[in-house]
Parts: sequence; structure tokens; C-alpha cells
Amino acid sequence: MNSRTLAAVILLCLVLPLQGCGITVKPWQRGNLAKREMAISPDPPLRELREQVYLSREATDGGKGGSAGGCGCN
Amino acid sequence: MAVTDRINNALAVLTSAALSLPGLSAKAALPASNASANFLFGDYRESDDRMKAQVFHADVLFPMRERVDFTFKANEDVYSGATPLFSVPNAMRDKPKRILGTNIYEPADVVVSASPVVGTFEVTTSMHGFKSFEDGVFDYILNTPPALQTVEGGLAAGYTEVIDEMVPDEGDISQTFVDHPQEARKEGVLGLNYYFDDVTLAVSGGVSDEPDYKSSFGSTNVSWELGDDLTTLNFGYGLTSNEISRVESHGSGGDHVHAGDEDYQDLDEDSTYHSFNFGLSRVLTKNTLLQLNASYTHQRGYLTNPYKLVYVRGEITPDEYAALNLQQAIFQDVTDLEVAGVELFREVRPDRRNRYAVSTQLRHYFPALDSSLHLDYRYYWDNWNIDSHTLETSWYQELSRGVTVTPYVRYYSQSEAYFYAPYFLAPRSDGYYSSDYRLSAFGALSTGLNLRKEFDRGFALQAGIDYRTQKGSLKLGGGGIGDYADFHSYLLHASLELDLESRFSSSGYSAAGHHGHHVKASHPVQPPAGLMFGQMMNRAGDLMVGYQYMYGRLDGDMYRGTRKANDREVIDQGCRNLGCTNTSRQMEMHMNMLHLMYAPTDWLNLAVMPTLINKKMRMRSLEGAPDNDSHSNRHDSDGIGDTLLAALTQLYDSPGHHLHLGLGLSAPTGSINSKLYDSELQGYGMQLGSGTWDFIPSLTYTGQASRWSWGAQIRGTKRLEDENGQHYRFGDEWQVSTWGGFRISPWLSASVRGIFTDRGEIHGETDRHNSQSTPVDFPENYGGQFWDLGLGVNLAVPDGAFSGHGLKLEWLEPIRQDNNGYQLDREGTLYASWSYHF
Repeated sequence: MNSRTLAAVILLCLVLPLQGCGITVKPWQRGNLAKREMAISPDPPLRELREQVYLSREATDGGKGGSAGGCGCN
Repeated sequence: MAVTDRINNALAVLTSAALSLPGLSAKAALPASNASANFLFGDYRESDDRMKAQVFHADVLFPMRERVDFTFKANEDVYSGATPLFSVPNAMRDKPKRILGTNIYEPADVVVSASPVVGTFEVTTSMHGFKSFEDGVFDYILNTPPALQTVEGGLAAGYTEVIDEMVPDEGDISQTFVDHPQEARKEGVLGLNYYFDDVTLAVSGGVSDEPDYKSSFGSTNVSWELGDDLTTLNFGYGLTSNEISRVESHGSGGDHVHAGDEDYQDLDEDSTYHSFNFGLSRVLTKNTLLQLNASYTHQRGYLTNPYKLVYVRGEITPDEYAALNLQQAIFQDVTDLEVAGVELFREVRPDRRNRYAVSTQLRHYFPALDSSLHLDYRYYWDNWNIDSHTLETSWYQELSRGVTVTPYVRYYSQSEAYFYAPYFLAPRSDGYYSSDYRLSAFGALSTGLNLRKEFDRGFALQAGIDYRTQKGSLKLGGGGIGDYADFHSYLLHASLELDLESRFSSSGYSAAGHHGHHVKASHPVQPPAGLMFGQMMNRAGDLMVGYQYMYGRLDGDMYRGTRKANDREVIDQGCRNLGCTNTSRQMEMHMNMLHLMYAPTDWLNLAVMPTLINKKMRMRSLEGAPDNDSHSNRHDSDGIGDTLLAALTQLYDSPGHHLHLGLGLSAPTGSINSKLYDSELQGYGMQLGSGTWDFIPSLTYTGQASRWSWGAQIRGTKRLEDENGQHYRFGDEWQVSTWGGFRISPWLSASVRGIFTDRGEIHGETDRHNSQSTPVDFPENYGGQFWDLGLGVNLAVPDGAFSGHGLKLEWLEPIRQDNNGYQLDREGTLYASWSYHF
């Protein structure tokens, strides 16, 4: 299986089973979603710190919605 | 009917109450209700003394009006260590080379980076001592006088032998490392969020500054909550513009290649990135949230690493080496690549890169366990033929008493860039080369554990550790590079999150006022910003978080004692009998101090004050001194300074008068090994710490009557050790301050302060390799007696949402100095501080 096929399979596996739900969530049912731990990024400073390590040691960037700049990264 | 109404009403109340909680919409598209701040410290270390970095982060968020949030973020990274420069097979190393002037041969590497080789002649002659070279040209050189030697005649044969002898094999590859001197990156980012009814607009911009990399960036993001209240769309665009240069004498292993007119130009390049992002997040169930993202980034310009080198065989042929040696050609005639040593060149990457990524981020809450699962996957690809998979998961487990434990695992795998190879045995037709391990095929596994404790006073503490291992063999499906580039690293982090409007605070100035007792405390004496240990909290359980910034500057003429000294005198007497060649022209110091204080009882306060320091010195040559360019024009040192620990004890307290004793201890956390690029130790004043444990006692008196306040303090610094790790110690110090203040309005006061400081001279002397050509290199040119006048303003918020906050500013103007030896004139000192007492 090549890399792109694998990516497609993983993406579909993560997304497909979740289709069809989500029609009946009323505002007052969202207490759990409001929890800090349920945020997409509960701790932006820690996430940025980790991303900085990964960005300076790996050849990948993007895809997570954020953007920043500046890193000679030796 | 009435029942239904009542139910509907109840639902409406519940709904609106629920909606007023932050973060209750699909995305956090509600304005933050409270101002907040974060402080984070990270310590990153790679195995085998490779790179290490310390990261300091602070950010604040202020809701400005009902629909507007304002954010500010500051980062500083200090990094140093060894970084890979190039790689070749081990079989190509260690060839017999003659020790000059003897018949003894010792193993040496043919492939070496520029230092100490410079220019065509040095590059080519450095191959001459090898036995293979001698074998190839022995007869020819013996029988041909140098003036008659030619490329065709036989000189090239020696180079052929040297290169042919370096036989690459299937065996181990090894990397050559270079020491990266300590440098710092500083970054500031401003942001604004505007909340419309269904749409949130976020705009941010910032700059990042490194000695060799300056970056400015801006981004805008629109998130739009659709009518179903379940779906949010995000559109983002970001622009980054970079200026890239190369700091001389590092990365190339020494001096860069130059020989008269063959010199390569200094690097002065730029690059531009455009990023586009599209995201969709959707509430799937009352416990599930999913976000999908796609991004595209177009990069153009200089995308090459300015320091990394590549081994390329055949880029310069033996004939060409011979021609270079005979000075019949220069590097530019024989190769388009920049020569950086024997068979070594600077890497070149394409000047365009298109990068794509798609990702999913899933959040699911398990009510029975009170825990949340985060599962993220990203696929990335670009037109350099790299693609990668990133799978990341965290488990947020809530325990009792506000504690959350979060284990974290991340797996990453990438393929290699099409122009990557550990070394090149033939030139590439497209002219692109890189041996940077980050463009190779490898995998990486990270695991982490994070602990967070939330306190009901409106703050949270967090600490954690990540371990990461990067290996060729961890690549998905195999086929990664060998193990020569494998390494592992640790990342330790600790942070403090602070709600700046803790409305439930049971203490603080305002609360004291409301309760009717301790009315005086609502207008407490505010000593000037620059006074250390000047203020106590007098309620048990109180906490204070503060930040102090200090900027000090020396500039202008050199002084001896109380009078100006001219250059002639400094040359003759400033450097003992060695004769000074240079002196400092300007010195600046920036100090950032975090101030954490706690009152376990009403008469005792405990404080911890870590510091982050940046020092800059600019040099000039002394008029009439022999030329000396061994000092570069500018020196920097950055990093953690000494950390103060203190206990303040109240001795006397009455409505008008207050006296307290401070017992401080300064821990030697600041470096005393700050070096120049050429590994000479920097001057004593450029070091970040004292290197000794120091005792800092103080006695402070404050008084007040109606709108007037006054006070005095005496403070000493006693070094507790005879010498530090470098065999010297700074002099002891004492300082007397006295001030008067006037309260102009309930929240604003002004102060005038007189300060006398006596600082002893340095005892002992470093025994490490250091420069000996400027006054700052000698211990006798430190210390003295100094008189300053301070003018200050204090702002204190007595009530309202921001009660407990204080802002202070003070400027210290030098009045008189009587210094030891030869020192630079003092320009003044600025103190700015913010504190939050709750």
C-alpha cells in the first residue's frame, strides 16, 4: 500500500464512522463539550512548544489551522 | 399550558446560562470573559551534547470590550550545542597523512570543512600531505620544478589518487558536527479577535529575530458558525517574510572560505511564505467534536540551510583541483556550488516549495471516566517528494482536587526529499543537494506525561516531560536511512496559568477595603519600581505574581574614578602592561524577572524570582592602538540569570509606619561560561550570573500620612563563596535608598528616590582562555561607588475587575560615579513592573 492510499484509509476510518450523528445536540446538552479538555487545543502554549520541536526536527508543517513564523532552526 | 410554559422558561434559563459559559459553542467563538496570562518554561535537550534549548514564553489575553479580545505573546529561545555539518562513510575517513617535516604518517580525514583551510591554494594543498597524493605525483614533482608543473603534465594524478582512495562502502556513515555558539531568538506577536454574531475575525502579526534569521508574519482567520449551531467553518491566510544571513565563524566550522577576489559574498537572502487554511469543525454528539483541516503553503526564495554542507564527488575533478592549485582557475570557474572545504560544498535546495496537509482532530468525552480522548491524524506532502504521517493521541484524565493527568503519544514518519542523500558520489544534473538529516527518511516516536493542578484561587500549575526518539528504522514500512543520524531528546516544561480577574478572591486590596477593616490597605505604600524587597503582603494566604523588566545602559566615554579618560590613557593603563587595543563603546542589559510571592502568615512572605537576561556589548578600537580585529564589533549573551529566593519578615507595623527585614539568597543559576564565537570567554560583566551563592539581606522602612509616603532601605550582597567555577568572585555590594512619594489620585502616585551604591572589585581572575585586549577583560576594572536619582510613577488599581493590579515605572539617572579602574560612562536604568496581588 503506498503512502497516499494509507493516508486516505486512515482519514476515512477516522471520519466515516462519525457520519450521521450530530443532528440532535441541543445547546443545553453541550456541557461536556465546553470542558477545557474538550477544546481542539486546550493548552496552546504547550502545543506551540511541542510544535516548535517538531518543526525544527522534521520536514512537515501545516494542517493544524495555526500559523506562525520565524525559525532558523539549526 | 402553564406547565409547558414553565418548562420552556426553565429550558430557556438553562440554555442561556449554559451559553454564557465560555467555550460552549462548537468552537470557542465566544469572547473570553476574563483577562488571563500564561507563563511557560521549556527545557529541550538532545542526546550526545547535540542541540539544547531553553524556551521562555509569556502571553496575556485582555477582553477589551464586549466583542473584542486583545492578545500579546512574547517568546525567547536560547539555544546552543553541536549540530551535524555533513556526513560521509566511515570507510572514506582516516587516510595516512604525513606529519609536516617528518616521515611519519598519521590517519587524517581528506574531507574537511573550511577551517583552517581558506582559498583555492589551501584547499588543494591540504590534500598534498596524504600518502596517496605523494604516491601519485612523487616522480613528477621530483623531476619537475614547481614553475614548470602543469595540470596535464601530471599534477592532477595526485588528486585522482587521493579521491580514488576514498572508497565508499556499504558500512557505517558518520556525521561531522560543529559547535553552535549560544544564540537567542526573540519573538513578539500581537493579536486581536473580533466577535460578530456568527463570525469571529482573528488578526495577528509579529516578528521573530535571530542573529541570522529575521521573520515578520501576519495572519487573518475567519470562523463562521453556521445556522445549525453545530458546524463552524474556518478560513485562514498567513503571510511570512524572512531575511536570512549567515553568522560568520559558526556552522562552517571556522572561518569561511575567502582568498582575495575569490571571496564569496556574505549571505543576504530572503523568502516568502503564503499559507492558506480551511477548516470545518462539527459537534457530532453531546460528547464528540470533530475538526477537519486542509492547508496549503507556498514558499519561495532562499529555502536552503545556510550552514549545512554536502560531500559531492566529481563536482571538482582532479584536473580542476590541479588548475586551482596552480592558480589557473578560481572556485567560480570550476563549480556553481559554493566551496566550503575539500570535496565539500554548501547545500542547495530548490527555491520553490509547495506544501499540502490534511488532518482530522477528534475529541471525545467519556462521562463515566471523566476523561477526554484526543486523536489527531495528519497527512502531509510536498513537491520535494516528502510525504509524512503524524498520529497523535492524548488522554485527559481528570482526578479529584482539580488535578488532570495527561499521557501523550505521537508517531511520525516521513520519506526523503528527492535531492537528499547522506553523501553524493556524482554531481546531480539539477544542482540540488542536501544531506540535512531532516530531509531524510525516518520515523520518530514521542511520549509524554503532563500533570496539571487547578487551584480555586484562579490559577493553575502544570509540569510535564516528553521523550522523543528519532530513528531511520522507525520509518513507516521501513526503508529509512541508517542509524547514523539517530538521536533522542527530552523536553521538560512547567507553566503557570493565571486568571487576572479572580472575582472570587477572598483577599487582595479591594476585598480588604470592602470588609471595612484594614482600610489603609486599599492605599498601601507603593515603593518605587526599582526597589527590591520593598513591599510586603500582610494577609495570610495572599499570593502575588509579578513581572519586572529592567533596562540598563552604559554608553559614551571611558571613565577612571570620577573623570574622563582619553584613549591614550586607556591603551597604556586599562589592560595592565599589555596595552589595550579595543574598548567597549556601549553596553546594554535587559533583565526579565518573574516574581512569585506567597504569604503563609501575616508577618512572613516567601518569594522566588527567576530571571532571564540579555546583555549586548558593542566594541570600538582605541584611537592610536595597533590594529586588532580579533574582537568582533558586537557581543551578546542570553539566558537564565541567577535566581533569587527571599523571606520577608515584618518587624513593626502601625497605621503610619512599617518596618521589615528581608533575607535573600541568590542561587547561581546564571551561566559564567558565556563565550565569544571564537570560544574565548566573554568579559566578567557580560556573564549572566555571579557563579556564587550570594546572601542578600535588606531592611526596609516605609511610612505614610494622608497622601504622602516615604521610606528608606539598606540592602547588601555578600558573596558566600571564595570563588566561583572560574576562580573569581564578584565584589560585595551595599546600597542605600531613600524616597518620598505623593498620591496624586486614588490610583496614581509619583516618587523621587536617591540611591547610593558601593560595589566591590572582583577578587581573583578567570584562568580560562579569554581576551586580554580590552578593559572589561580585567577584574580591576569593575566596581566603584555610584550615586543615582530615581523618578517614578506608580499605578494601582484599587477596585473593579482589575483590582490588585499594579504598574510601576522608574528611571534612574546617574548623578555621579567613582569607579575602579577604567569603565564606561553610565547612561541610566529603567525599571518597569507589573504585579497582581490576589
